[in-house]
Amino acid sequence: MKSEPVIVFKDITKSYKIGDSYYQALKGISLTINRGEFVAIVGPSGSGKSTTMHIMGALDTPTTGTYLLKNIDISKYTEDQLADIRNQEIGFVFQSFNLLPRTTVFKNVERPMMYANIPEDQRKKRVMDALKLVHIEDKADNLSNNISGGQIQRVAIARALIMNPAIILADEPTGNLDSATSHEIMEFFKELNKQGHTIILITHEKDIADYASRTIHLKDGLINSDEITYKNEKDV
Amino acid sequence: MNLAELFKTAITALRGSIMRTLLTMLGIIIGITAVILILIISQGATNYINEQFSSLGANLLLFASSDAIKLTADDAKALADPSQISNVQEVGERFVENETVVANGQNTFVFIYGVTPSIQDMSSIAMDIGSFVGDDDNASISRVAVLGPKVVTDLFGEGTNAVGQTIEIDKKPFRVIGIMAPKNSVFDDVVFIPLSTATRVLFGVNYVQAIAVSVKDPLLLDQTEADVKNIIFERHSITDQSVKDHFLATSSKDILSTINSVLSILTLVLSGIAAISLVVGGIGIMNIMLVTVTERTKEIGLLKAIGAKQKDILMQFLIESVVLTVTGGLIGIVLGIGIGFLIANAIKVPFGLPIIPVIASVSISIVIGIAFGSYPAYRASKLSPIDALHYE
Repeated sequence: MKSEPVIVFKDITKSYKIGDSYYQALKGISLTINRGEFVAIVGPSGSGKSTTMHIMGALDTPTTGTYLLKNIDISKYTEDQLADIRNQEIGFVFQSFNLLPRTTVFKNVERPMMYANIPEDQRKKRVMDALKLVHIEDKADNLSNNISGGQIQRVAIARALIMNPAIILADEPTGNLDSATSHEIMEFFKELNKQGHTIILITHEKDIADYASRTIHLKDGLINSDEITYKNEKDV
Repeated sequence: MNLAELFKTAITALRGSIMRTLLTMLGIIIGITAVILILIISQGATNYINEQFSSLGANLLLFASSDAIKLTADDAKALADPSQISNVQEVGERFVENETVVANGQNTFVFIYGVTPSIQDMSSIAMDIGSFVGDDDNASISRVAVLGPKVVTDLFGEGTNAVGQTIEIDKKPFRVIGIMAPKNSVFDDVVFIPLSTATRVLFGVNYVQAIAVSVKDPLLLDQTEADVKNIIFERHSITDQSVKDHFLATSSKDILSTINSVLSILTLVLSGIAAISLVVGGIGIMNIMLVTVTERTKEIGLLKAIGAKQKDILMQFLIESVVLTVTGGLIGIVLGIGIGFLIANAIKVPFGLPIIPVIASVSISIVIGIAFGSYPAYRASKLSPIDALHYE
């Protein structure tokens, strides 16, 4: 299969102003992630992995450098243009506060399509299909605060998939789960990856990172190592 | 997101914390209730006064005797002469005093109206039983009386046919010749007797208190007033301008417009006070919306992460505050109309549904929602997605 770059970082830096001085969170990161990859970005706190996630997820723009998402340079996009990118091309799964409180599972998954102005008659089927994919269709009418932690993450995955984005960006998706449920959720990601979805996982847990087929280590705002691991395939 | 979806989303969010929603709306509810209530009551009072005045007769000019000019029955005759003044329809004279009326072992303190027959027409008085004071009664200075229905009730008991009975006014016996049909006005509690009897027998005067003139063409009311004055000044040989200036005519229209303008000023002042409570209610909404935005910072971050634009967040919070104020407004309208209906019934003024104030209240609610919801909504929309997501 010909490799097709989805994400290209060219010498990305990010500085924050703290008081009078600048703190450089990213000191020049270049990487390419191809369609269908399952990449783990790991590193200790302060390594720059959250900042990388923010820029990759179009939540923030780099100070310098170029970010090509599906060959389009979005490094200088405005807040509203970035909102469109997040809506169309990024599926987020966060560690916590993934779902709107006091809102049904169905409504949570439906919401990105509402921002994309997809007509209501198309939305229902797509939500139910996405919920089926993560085996939680029977909870569609439950309020988000009445389901378990593992179920919340599955709903979040369903929502991340709903717009058929270029990448799924999972930020410590198992951070609040017990090990059995963590395992279950990671199996979902693996399954999605097998179906062709590009998954980027931000984590500091080695056994979670091991689910990915490529691991990028960050340290002090730079890439420390970038290794292809075929562990998953070997394990199966 | 389209408007319908925004509203649905807002209602879902507000129902999520129903107690807070109700408390937030309280200020608007009280404000709108107060405004509607004030308008209903003042409208009722205005209607009531209008009814009372229309029962007194429209297009009437009333000329009262002054210290310098004592009007007489002859003045009235002159005014009724079409060769002197053409726009006059009818002329009536009256002399009114308070007196105690005694009959049947009961007594009541009422207005005694000494009148000429044309007063019946001019004041639109209908008879229930018997007849009104006639020309013969005036000519013969008869001791006859026409009673208002309330006087009958007070003296003889409700619904009694008192025609033929005798009543005493100032210890002089009068025969009841008629009973008026109820008008639901001040005329229900008066006794009419012939003018001549009133002036000569009861009160011992040779003048009348007032001459009422009804006009044919109401558009010429002012001209007729001037004509009447000229005739009176000539008959009484008045040349002194200050005497002339103090001889005033009142028309029912004048009195009505004076009372109405007093009422509308009163309504305006009270509405102003109620409007202050609306502003306070609006500030309450702004307060709660600001707290809500802070409380829901993480939610805003999440919404931005899944693609909400600034405009989407702005609209969501704006519509939440509009839904809050409009719901509060509607509850206020229902309460205001309900309480207004009860009060109008209790104080016996006619109840009118105030359509324009209702529409205005809803509009004001929307404006308050937008005005006081804008700042919190703007703050929410401007939150950076990262800061919002990481807010603790």
